[in-house]
Amino acid sequence: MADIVVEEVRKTYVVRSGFRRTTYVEALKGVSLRVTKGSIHALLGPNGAGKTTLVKIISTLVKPDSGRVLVGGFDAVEEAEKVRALIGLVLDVSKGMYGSLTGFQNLMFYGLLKGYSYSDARRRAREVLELVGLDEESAFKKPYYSYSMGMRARVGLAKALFTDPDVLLLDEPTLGLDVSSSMVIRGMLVDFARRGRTILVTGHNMREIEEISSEVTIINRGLVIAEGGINELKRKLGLANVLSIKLEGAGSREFILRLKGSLQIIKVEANETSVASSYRIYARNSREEIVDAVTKLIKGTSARVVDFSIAEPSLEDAYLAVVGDTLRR
Amino acid sequence: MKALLYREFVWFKRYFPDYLGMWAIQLGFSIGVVFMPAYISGGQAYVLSRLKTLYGVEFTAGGLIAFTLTLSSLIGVVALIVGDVFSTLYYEFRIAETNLTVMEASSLADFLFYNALGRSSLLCFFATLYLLALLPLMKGLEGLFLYLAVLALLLPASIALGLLSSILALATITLTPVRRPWAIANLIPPILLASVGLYIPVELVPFLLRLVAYITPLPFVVEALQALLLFVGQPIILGYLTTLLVVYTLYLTVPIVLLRRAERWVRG
Repeated sequence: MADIVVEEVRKTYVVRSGFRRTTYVEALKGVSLRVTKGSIHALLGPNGAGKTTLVKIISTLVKPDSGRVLVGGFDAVEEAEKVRALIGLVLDVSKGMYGSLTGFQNLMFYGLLKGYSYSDARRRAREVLELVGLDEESAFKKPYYSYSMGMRARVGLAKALFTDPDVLLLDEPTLGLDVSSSMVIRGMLVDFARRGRTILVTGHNMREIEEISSEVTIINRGLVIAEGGINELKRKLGLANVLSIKLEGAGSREFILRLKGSLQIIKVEANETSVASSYRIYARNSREEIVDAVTKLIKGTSARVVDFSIAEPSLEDAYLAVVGDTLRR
Repeated sequence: MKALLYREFVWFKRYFPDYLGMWAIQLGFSIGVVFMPAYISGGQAYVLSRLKTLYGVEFTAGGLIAFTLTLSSLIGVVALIVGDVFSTLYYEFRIAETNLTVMEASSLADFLFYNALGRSSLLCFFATLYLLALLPLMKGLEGLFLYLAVLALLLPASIALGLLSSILALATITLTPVRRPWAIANLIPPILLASVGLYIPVELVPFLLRLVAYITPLPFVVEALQALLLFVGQPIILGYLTTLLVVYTLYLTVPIVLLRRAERWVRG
């Protein structure tokens, strides 16, 4: 069951660069996507692809020109208030808060805006601050403008979690964070998804996205250019596994020739010396098939395997394979 | 509303010295600009005779001071409210982007309405607070009542001005390429104050200038204030009150309708 359904959404912005000059920017040109309940779905794309616009539309901040968005079965335009009750949003970790208020006071302000009573807002603000691990000194005494990016990201996440929402929309939640803060935030997201929350996350760090997401939609210039499970996407794109092998002995070349006959090899990069030869072999076969072929073939040769590893294609490879062409155009 | 009250309370605690400064500057301005030339500098007889020609009323020295002190409070009210609305909304929409937090959690139109209601009332109170010290000192209990009447006249006008400024600021920030909206904010108070003819009868202001002023309820407020201070008689005051009731209803309703539309254009 899909928790977020986006169908053929279009949005054009009017940009005023002077009092007379107006330009129209087509941010989304008919985007559709489905986010499964309880999953972490990544929305990827280069800068200006339309990711933030789509998140703003799903979160009811901006209305689409056409198309339909459903969150938890509610229409984001017609039933905006019901959608707002379901979602928690992080748009930009450094924005959306009053600099002169502390993290706690900003959360109180948000809670009261959401209709909480003073005492409930106070209790909930304390709970979510504890949940994101923000220490008392910072959260209650220091103004928000003095916070580090990591602390701001935690307050942002605390705000998103304030109403204990079913759906989390996170636009680059780890942008500008140090390694440890980013790791903590990722851990929290995985934990929230395990508890049944649906998460739509955007970002540029492919390793981080691959670590936490199972589904991905890649958009560029306002259009969806690839979508599906990450492994499915890699398969669909026919991305090669890379076998790195270092051989010693006279039979090295013969071994590689026989390997070429057993695997679907795209290319071979060789570095042959009189002592040892290193090869990088790009094959369309699965990891298991490659291991099987190497194990079988090595027995019949005089070559000796010194080093051996298989690198599976990463999300970054898939992303570059999809977006790379459009970026060069 | 609860959220705004909370934010105002926190800001008030944090910026109390600023509010104190606001009160002190207003007091100093009134004493320095109004009280001194009118009363101490020796031109008292001349000023009194000119005012009699203008208003057809015999002024006492004390009455003149109360008159000018009270009218000058409007300068502070207009300048503070317009400046505050423009700078706060610019900060909220362009710097901190807290408007997104508001739009995510509730209605932007409601937020702007309560913002204008709360902040304009607070600023009106602070801009006229010096009168609470000076009017009773000069006129005793009558001065206190006069202060309360002035506050009652100025509060709805301040809220209307806050709402109108919110719409203008919102339009400037979101619909134009203007990057320094405070430059516009700085121009509005002198234009408005010149158009209402603060220290002269409103009917003496050129018609075209008066048209500018009628964007706000200020000309009606100035007329009513002048009538109140000149003590023109109960029936006329009641007439002004009836007019003001209609005027305030109009000047509060139109901006509220416009704010609803503003939310639609901000959300695209």
